[in-house]
Formats: sequence, C-alpha cells, structure tokens
Amino acid sequence: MFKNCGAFFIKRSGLRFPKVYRAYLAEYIDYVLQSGRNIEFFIEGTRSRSGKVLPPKFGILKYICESFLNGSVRNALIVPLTINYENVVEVGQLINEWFGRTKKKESLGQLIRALGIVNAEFGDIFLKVGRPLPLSFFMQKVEGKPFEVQLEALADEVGTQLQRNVLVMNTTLISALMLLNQSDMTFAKFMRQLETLQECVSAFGGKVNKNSEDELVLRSFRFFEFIEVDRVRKMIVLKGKMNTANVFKMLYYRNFAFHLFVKDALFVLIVKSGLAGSPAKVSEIDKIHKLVADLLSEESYRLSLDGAPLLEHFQHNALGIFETIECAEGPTVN
Amino acid sequence: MNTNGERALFVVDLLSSFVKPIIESYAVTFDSVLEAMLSGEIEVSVSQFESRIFSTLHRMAKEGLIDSLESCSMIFIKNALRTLQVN
Repeated sequence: MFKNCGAFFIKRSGLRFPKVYRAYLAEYIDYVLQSGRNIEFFIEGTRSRSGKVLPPKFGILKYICESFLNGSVRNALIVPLTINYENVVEVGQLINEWFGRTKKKESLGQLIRALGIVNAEFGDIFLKVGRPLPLSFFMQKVEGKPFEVQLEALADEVGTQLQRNVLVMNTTLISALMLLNQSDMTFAKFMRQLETLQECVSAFGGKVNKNSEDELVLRSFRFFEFIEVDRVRKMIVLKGKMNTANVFKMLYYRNFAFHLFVKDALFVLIVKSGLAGSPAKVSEIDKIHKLVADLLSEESYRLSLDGAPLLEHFQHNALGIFETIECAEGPTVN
Repeated sequence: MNTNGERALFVVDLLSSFVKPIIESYAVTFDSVLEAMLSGEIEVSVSQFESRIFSTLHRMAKEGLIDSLESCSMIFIKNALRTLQVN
C-alpha cells in the first residue's frame, strides 16, 4: 500500500553490504529528483521519544546535495514543514519506552488495529510551511567549503527553521504549569501563570497556539485524564496522586518547549547556584555554560552552537518579560 | 502575578524547572558510573547498569532528594550514558 503511494523503505540497520545499499539508495533518490517528483522525508530520522527537537540527520539530505553537485538536477527546493499535534496519539507507547520497555515492531495486525486512530481526538493540529530554501542559492553561499561543512550548514539551516516554527500547543502550556505546581489550583491562579507563560514563550522566540484563550486551554485538560476541571468550584483538581506515567506524559508534552528555554534556564541556574561567584562573573558563567552545554549535548540541539554570549541572550529575552530589569555594570551579574 | 517581583520569581522557577532536574540526574548518573569504576565493577552489562540507575533515580525522586521525575526515564539514562561514553 505504502509502495503504491510512492513511499520507499529505508533500512537503517542490519545491512549486509552497507556501501552497496547506500549507493543504490543514492541512485534511487537521484532518479526521483531527476523525474521531477517531490520527496517527503523526516530530517530528524526518527520520532523524538522525549518530545525534544532532535538534531537533523544528514542521510537523505546528503544524497540530494550530491545529485545537485554532480549536475543531475539543476536545483532542488527544500521546504521545511513543521507539524504539531495537541494530542499525540502514540504518547502511551512512547511513555512505555521511557520505562525501558522495548518498542513493538510494526505488523499488519497492528496497522489494522490502529485504524481506530481515525476516531481518536487529536485536538488542534498545526502545519507550518517554512521558508523554501533553493539549494542552488544555498550552495553558492557555502561554496569552496568542504562538502561535510556545506552539508552541516544546510542541515543546521533547515533544523533551525523547524525549531523556530514549532508551535507551543495548549497541552504543552498545561503540562509546564501543572509540573511546576504539582497541586490543585484555582482558575484564577492558573490563568495568571498561563498569561506569564505565554508571554515567556513569545519573548523567548516561540509561538503560541492562537487558540490559547482561557476557555480553550481549559478544554485541553481533557487530554489529561488524571486532571479534572471543576467548573463549579473554579478549581483544577488532580485526581489522586500523580503517578510516574502521568508525570512522564506531562514531561513529554512540556519538552516541546524545551528548546525555547534551555539556554536561559542554564543561565539562571548558574547565577543562582553561586558557582560563578557572588555576584556572578560573566567569564565564569561562560566557562560553566560551556561545560554544562557539552554535558547536555544529547538533550538539546544547538545548545552550544549559538555564539551569542549567555548574558546578552538572557537580557534580550528577559527584557520582554520583566518590565524592569537591573543589570550590574561591568563583568558581573547580580 | 500581583507584582513584578512575584512575576520574576515565577519565571525563574519556570526556567529552573526545565533544566535543574536534568543536571541533578546527570550528577546521579555520573556518581553511579564513578562508583562502579572505583569498586572495580567494570564488567556489568549496560542494560543492568541502566536499570540500576533507573531505580536509584526513582528512589531519590520519591525521597525528595531530586526535584522531579524529569530525567528518571530510560531515554534520559541512555542519553546520559552515551554522553559519558559508557559502553
């Protein structure tokens, strides 16, 4: 069925002759491009199990670049597409993997059983079409550099656009606030925090779902079966103690906004910890940041790539949040 | 938020909640690796090791010794061990 729709399968492991297989795949992609067809592929290479944005993989992108560089095609237009679901239908299966259970292999039976998905409620789904990137134009910009560097720059450009276009959905907003509070809340308190969180998302370079008015956010609680919205008492109530699976579910959703906050969160933690001195020295903050960023390289894509000094980054973002912010002059932060 | 101060504290708490538990869990994972190395226990299988860290993190989260369950997942532990180049 998939093949008839034009899909082609890629073996990622267990190859007997990997070089032959890759050459065959490159040839096939070259043929598809030459015949003027579109190729849709997932640049992260797999589904993110944690909800965090994954670093781009170079595979298919490499073959496309090679087709362009060897003159098989005159140009190729790369269009980054970001899709966000309010309710991720396989969240239960992903959480199983958080517990260390292995992923079940897909089968025909599973596909048939999965047809029930069409009746599932997904909430809002957003598709953002990013700025198209003509390969001929991009390759001119990086001309003369080694192929690996060109490829990395291209993947980075696409990855950055994808990350920038992630829409923060209501399930993410709810998860961030419920994880922070971990208790029942009045509507009033929740709404106050929600407003500040939405401002934070915008100030830190993210986008909030336009359907995030108070009532619609309250409606999105239906995706969390362990939380009740009590409209009579105007309370958000946790049904019993949150178990690990429930916490994992909220962490998964909250991680969709992880990339927005991680850099500034590191800044705040370093300053608060006193490790960079009191008041904190900017040079020390940078040193510690580099160490921690290396340590967290598996957790966040582009954590240490951005050259903007951490303080500057934080000031730029935080000025959008705090009406007044006082920064000490000189190389220290109070 | 009633005041700017309250707002600022909330934002600081919010930002911290994203990263602090991860760093704490990295520290626990790092400690476990170090402990195993110092005790000469270098032949334990990675999966056993992962399970052991998983249990340690969950116990510590239950006892309130770490902030939340944020990084008590196998996905996190695998990432942490990869970063620490345990194989």
